[in-house]
Amino acid sequence: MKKSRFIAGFSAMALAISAMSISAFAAPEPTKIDQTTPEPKQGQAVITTTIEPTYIVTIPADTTVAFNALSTDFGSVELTQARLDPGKQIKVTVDTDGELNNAADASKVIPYMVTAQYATGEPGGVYMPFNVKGSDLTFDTTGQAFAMEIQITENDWNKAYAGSYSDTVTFNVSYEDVPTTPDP
Amino acid sequence: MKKIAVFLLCLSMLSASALTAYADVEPNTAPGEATIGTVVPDSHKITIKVKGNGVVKVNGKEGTEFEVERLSKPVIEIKAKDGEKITKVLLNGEDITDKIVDGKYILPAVYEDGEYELTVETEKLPDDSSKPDSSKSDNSNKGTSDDSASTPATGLTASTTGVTITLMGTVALAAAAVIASKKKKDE
Repeated sequence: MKKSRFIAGFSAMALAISAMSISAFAAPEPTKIDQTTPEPKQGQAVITTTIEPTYIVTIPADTTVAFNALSTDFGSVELTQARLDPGKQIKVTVDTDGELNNAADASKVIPYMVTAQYATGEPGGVYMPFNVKGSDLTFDTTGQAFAMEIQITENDWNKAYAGSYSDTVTFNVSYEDVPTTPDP
Repeated sequence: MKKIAVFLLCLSMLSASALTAYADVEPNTAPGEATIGTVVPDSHKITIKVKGNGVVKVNGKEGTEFEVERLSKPVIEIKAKDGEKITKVLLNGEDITDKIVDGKYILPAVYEDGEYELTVETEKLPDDSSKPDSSKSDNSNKGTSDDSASTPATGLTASTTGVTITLMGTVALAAAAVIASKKKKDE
C-alpha cells in the first residue's frame, strides 16, 4: 500500500513539472506569395538585431609625488572605447578624503587635492581645472578625457613631518541616463 | 518492480525541460583605485657662508655644511676672534644683532635644504686688550721702590693704573713728611 502511494505521488510530481511552460525556439516560416494570395500581393520580413552597450574607462595609475612638488601629473580618466545606448552616458565619481597619511603615525597628514581638467572638446574651448571632490566626470563619446593633477600647497609641505605618506583614490564608474534639462 | 522503476525514470526524463529565467539588469558599476604616495625626508643640509672675522658653530659644531633634523631649530653660536668684539651680524642681509642672546641665535624651523650667508662685523677692542702688559707693569710698580724712583712721582705712564698712581703719591707724601720732621728736629 505504501509502495503504491509513493509511486502515485512521484508520478504526479513528475507530470506537474513536465506540464510547465517550455520555451521553444522555432525558426519563422518564410512567407509564400502565389496566385492565390489576395491583392496586394505583398509580404514583409522584419529584420532585428541587438547590440549590447559596451565601454572601457581608463583611470590613473599609482603615482608618486616628489617632495615639495606643488603640482603632479596624475594621468587621465578617459573613455577609451564606447558603444552606448541613446540617452545614456558614463559617469565617474572620484572618492578621496584629501589627506596623505603618514605610515608610522596616522595622525600626521599632508592635505592634497585632485583636480580634473576637460582635455577634449570644441576647438578654442577653455576648460578650467576643478576639484573632483563633489564633482562628476561624464562621458558620452569615445576619446573624451579629463587630465588629472595632484596639488599640495607650499605651506602644507613646509609643515609636513618626515616619513612615508600614502592615500587611495577610488574611481566609481556607472552607466546612467543623461539627465534631462527641465523646460524653462 | 523493474517495470515500475523504468516507468518512473521515463516520467523523470519528461520533466527535465529547459526553463527560461528572466533576470533584472542592474546598472553596471565598477570601482577602480589608484594610490598616491610621497616621502618627506627626515633631515636637511644647510650651508653657512661666513663673511667677516667671526667664529661660527652650528649645534656646537664648526664647519660650513651641516645636516640638521627636519623641522628642528639649529642654534648658531657666533663669537668674535681674539682682540675683537662683534658690532653687527647680518643673516642673508637681515640684521639679527639684537636677536643674538649670549652669543647664540636660533634659526627658524628647517623644512628644506638651504644656504645662509652670515656677515659678522667686528671692531678691535681698546688697548685694554694688552692687559698682559698692564698686569706686568702693575707688578713691577708694586714690587720695588727703585722702580718707583725711576718712574715719575705722579706715575704718569700709559700703562699705570689709577690705583698705582695713588700709591705712588701717598709714598711720596709720606717721604716728604718724614724728611720735613727730621729737619725740624735738627733745627
